[in-house]
Formats: sequence, C-alpha cells, structure tokens
Amino acid sequence: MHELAIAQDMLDLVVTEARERRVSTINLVVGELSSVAEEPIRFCFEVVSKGTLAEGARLALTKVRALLRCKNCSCEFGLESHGVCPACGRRNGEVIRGRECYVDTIEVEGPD
Amino acid sequence: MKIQVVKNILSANEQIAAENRAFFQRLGITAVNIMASPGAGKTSLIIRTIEELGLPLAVIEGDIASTFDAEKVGEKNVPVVQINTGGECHLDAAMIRNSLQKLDVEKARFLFIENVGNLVCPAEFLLGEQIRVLVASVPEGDDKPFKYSGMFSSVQAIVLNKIDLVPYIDFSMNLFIEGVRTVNPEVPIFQVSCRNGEGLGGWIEWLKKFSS
Repeated sequence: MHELAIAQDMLDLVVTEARERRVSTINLVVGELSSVAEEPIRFCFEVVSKGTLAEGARLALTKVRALLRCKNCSCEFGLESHGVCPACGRRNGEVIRGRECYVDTIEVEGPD
Repeated sequence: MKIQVVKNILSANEQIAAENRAFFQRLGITAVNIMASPGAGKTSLIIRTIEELGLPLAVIEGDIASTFDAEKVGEKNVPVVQINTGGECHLDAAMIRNSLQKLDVEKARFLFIENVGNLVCPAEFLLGEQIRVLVASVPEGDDKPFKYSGMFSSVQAIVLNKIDLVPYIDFSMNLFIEGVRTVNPEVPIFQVSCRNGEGLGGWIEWLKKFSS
C-alpha cells in the first residue's frame, strides 16, 4: 500500500542521485514481503514523475523471493511452506530475505 | 551511465524515525507504538496501563478525526497530545516529531503512541518506537493472524483483548495462537479483558522490564 508515497520518495531519491541529468532507467529491488505491488508503483511513478527529469524513465523491477531460515534446524524455505519447516516440521522460521525495497542503480543520460 | 544508489525507499520516514528514537534514548523514555483495528481496545489498554503501571508516562493519540481518545486520557492527568491526520490512515515519524514539541515528556518513563485504527498500514511506518504492540480482540475473529501476517509478524507483543466475550463468540483460541505462531513464533500473547481487568497483570509485568 501507499505506492504513491513510495513513488514520491523514489522520485526524490532518484532525481537527487541523477544530479540534474535525465534519468533513463531505474533499477528497483522489491522483496516479496515488502507489500509494494508492481502495477500500482508503476502507475504512481508515472504520475509523480511528470515534468521532472525522471519522466519517461523505464522502471525495472527485480523481485526477491522471500526466504525463511528455521531456527530449529537451519533449513531454508520459502512462502510455499506456509511457515512450516519442510525438514523438521516446526513453525520457527525467521525472515532472512524478502522485506527489501530499495533503488539499486539508476541510468542517466550524458557524461559523468 | 549507471549510478550505484542502493538506498531504501521511504528512507525519509526511516531517517526521522531514527532521530525520534535517539531522542527517546537520550531522555530515557520507552516509546511504545500501539496498533490495532478500530475498536479493538487501544485506548482502553492505555487507560488501564495508566492505572496499573505506577510510573510517569505520556501519551500521543492518533486518529483521523476527533479528540475523544485524548480527552479520556486527559481525565487521568497524564500529558497527552492528539494528532488528527485528516485522512492519512497511519501515523508517521514526522507527525510524532511534531507532536513531541507540544508534549511534556521530561518526566515520562514511557510514551504510549496510539496509532490510527488500521491493521495494515501502521506496520510499514516506523515512528522511532522501541516496542511495537498489536491489540487484537476476540470479536474480530480467530483467523486474523493468517489474514494480516504483515502486522502480526512485525510486533514484539500481542494483547488479545475482550476475552470476557469468549463464551459468546465463535472464537478458537487454539486457531488464533496457531496463526500467531506461524508468523511470529516467540511473541508473547497476553489474554486480557480491559473491561474487567482480567490478565492485565502479565502485560504490566512485561512492560516494566523495558523501564529505563
């Protein structure tokens, strides 16, 4: 939820990093557990970036699958296990991946 | 030309939350973010805690509109400020920072922040709190941990309120606890009735451990 606020935050971040150059691509990393949905973020970014140096930038999303590690036996498993360790059957997993939501790299036009 | 960024989004809120957290640590205040659906019992839990904790505290009340909750807290002679978000469905770190300018927290050992009634969004916005608490309630149903895993997994304590209604509602305590354990295996669950006082002792004793 709140993709509009997230898109605005992303825009501010990207425009600052671009240092007055036009942004052509934004590489975003979004974890499965981050509650950021792809369609809303694309739409909201399109809306907020109008008239800025990031208007028209391609948004490339890299999705990260959630990964949990069992505190009992260290087996790693994903959301398809519904919280139950497939090795030992305990419900004792901690999230080690999947909550990410960050701008990894951007591509800008023009020289350094 | 590619530029390495690697910066979290919503970093602005996280930055302010970190500043709030540092402020609380400097003053020796334990800040508690209390979240729940509307009507679960956040204000009731705060009122009961004021009555039973026996330590100086302050409260920030968050609602979309109205001052009902701040008025109830004010009757207990506790410093309180009401935030009206005017439409925003959660509190954020900037709102807390602004409120702190109007609130006398000098002597407080605990600051209770009552978030806007909402089981989804508050989970995503850090305020600078040390402890995050979810108030669930029996009439909401025993399947909510499965449906709102984002919230249930993100808290350090769950207070299950309105246990006095268990005889009258189809609520399986086993299913509720199983749901909680699925997403938050070690979280303490305090079964209470803010109405008749049952079970509150465990919650108070747990809270006292965080007293600076």
